[in-house]
Amino acid sequence: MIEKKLINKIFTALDRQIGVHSGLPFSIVVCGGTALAALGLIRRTTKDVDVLGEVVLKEQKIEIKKIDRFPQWFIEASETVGRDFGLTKYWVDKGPAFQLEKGLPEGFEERLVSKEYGKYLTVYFISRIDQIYFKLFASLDRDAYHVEDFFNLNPSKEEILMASRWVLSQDDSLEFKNNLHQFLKKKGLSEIINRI
Amino acid sequence: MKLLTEFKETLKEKLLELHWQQWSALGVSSYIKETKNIIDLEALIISSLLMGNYDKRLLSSCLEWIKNNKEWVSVSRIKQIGKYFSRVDTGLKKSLVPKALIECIPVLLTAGVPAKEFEKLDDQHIPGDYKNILLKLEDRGITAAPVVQKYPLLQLYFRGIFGINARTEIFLFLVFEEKGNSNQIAREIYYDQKIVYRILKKWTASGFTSEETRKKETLYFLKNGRELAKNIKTRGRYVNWCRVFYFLSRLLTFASTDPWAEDAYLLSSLFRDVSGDAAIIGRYFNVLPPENNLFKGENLFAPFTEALFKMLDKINE
Repeated sequence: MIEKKLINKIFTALDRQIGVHSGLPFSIVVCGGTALAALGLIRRTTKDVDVLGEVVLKEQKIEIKKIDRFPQWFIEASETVGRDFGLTKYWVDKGPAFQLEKGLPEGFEERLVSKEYGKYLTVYFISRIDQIYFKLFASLDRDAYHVEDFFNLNPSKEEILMASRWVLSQDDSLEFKNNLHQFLKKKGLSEIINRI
Repeated sequence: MKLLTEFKETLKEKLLELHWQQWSALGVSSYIKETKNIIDLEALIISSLLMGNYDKRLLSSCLEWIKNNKEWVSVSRIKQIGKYFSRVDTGLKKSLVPKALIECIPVLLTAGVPAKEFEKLDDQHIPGDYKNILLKLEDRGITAAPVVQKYPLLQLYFRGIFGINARTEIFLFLVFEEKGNSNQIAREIYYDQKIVYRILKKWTASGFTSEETRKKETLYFLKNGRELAKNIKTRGRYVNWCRVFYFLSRLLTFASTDPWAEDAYLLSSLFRDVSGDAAIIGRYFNVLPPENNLFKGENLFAPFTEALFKMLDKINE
């Protein structure tokens, strides 16, 4: 499991292994539990690092590129770090990459919080408000821990309203809209429904 | 950083001591006590070429000894063990010992005037200081002929009986390991399998060894040859010195090369890579390396280095 105090060590180790395996710079966007813990938003452990995509800087502007397959040297570097810290084999997970196709909240790139872990690895953590957006989206159809994370972020009503509007832009089906309404009602947030 | 520098320096000192102890037993003049372990001459020569990076006197003593005691050295094993040390290391992206340097040893053993041959050496493949030593190699009188009756020189003693061929190494392997198939023996003693097989077949026909077929392998044991082995095994143990030297000098090379030289985590990661070899070598000297799983990331550094130095202290006892 990855604890907060291990995050820095693990990413620093990954930076060193990238140096050994390729010596090429690599920048990734990280969301999920690792980003929550790294930015001190929520204290909890996680078993993997969710990677949304690769950051490419174009004229000082951040562009997030989908990763279909990690480069071989990155796979080798991350497997070595996984072995060294007793993590699961697929501790670097590009599962959330689908979000890039669906679209990101406006201003997402500008809100990323970057951290350099050495000469090669830069991690861009998604911001608190974007975590609220993603966590609300995930709360509607997945595990309970997303709901817990969502409320642990202490979102204001205004933030929940903005997040609700965004999640509806991700899925315009009637069923999904009903799911959102039911969720808000169940959580005592009915007043937001009329404002969406 | 201090920890890393200390690690590198201690490893270097202990490894140099190991080499000097063996060269002392072979007749090189030094203040370091002679080893009690049975020496593998060719493994020692190849490893000394690498250790020459850290001690030029060791290198020149080694070369002078070879020049003066050619008759004891097996060119075939120099080439086989040389291949082992000169393959490109995937981590370092270079070989531990340049192939061109290893190729100098057969030249030293065969050429009438080796210095002339060394003038042709390509500076790109051999460090300048090595080339200078090779070119100016002269008899400084610091090496004596080996006293082959000494226990650590069993290999040379039996070479005196069997000649410079695979027979000595096969015999010593069977004395200490008791049995083995031709493949396994060839791998351990750094000779071609066909040569080992032919010798074992002849020995079995003459009753020196016997063979026993078990499942899919034929194992060979000493039979009449046991008489010759009397009193040998009780004093020593079998050590694959090539494996030991490669393992230790590889660690030293990494510890002297960036980025490992400055990073306890990367060295710890390397320790995990070599933990299998560390366990095999540790068994020779009854020192077990730590359980990797108990130490995350760089936390392995301290317990592994402690075990490593304990191992080296036992070797150098």
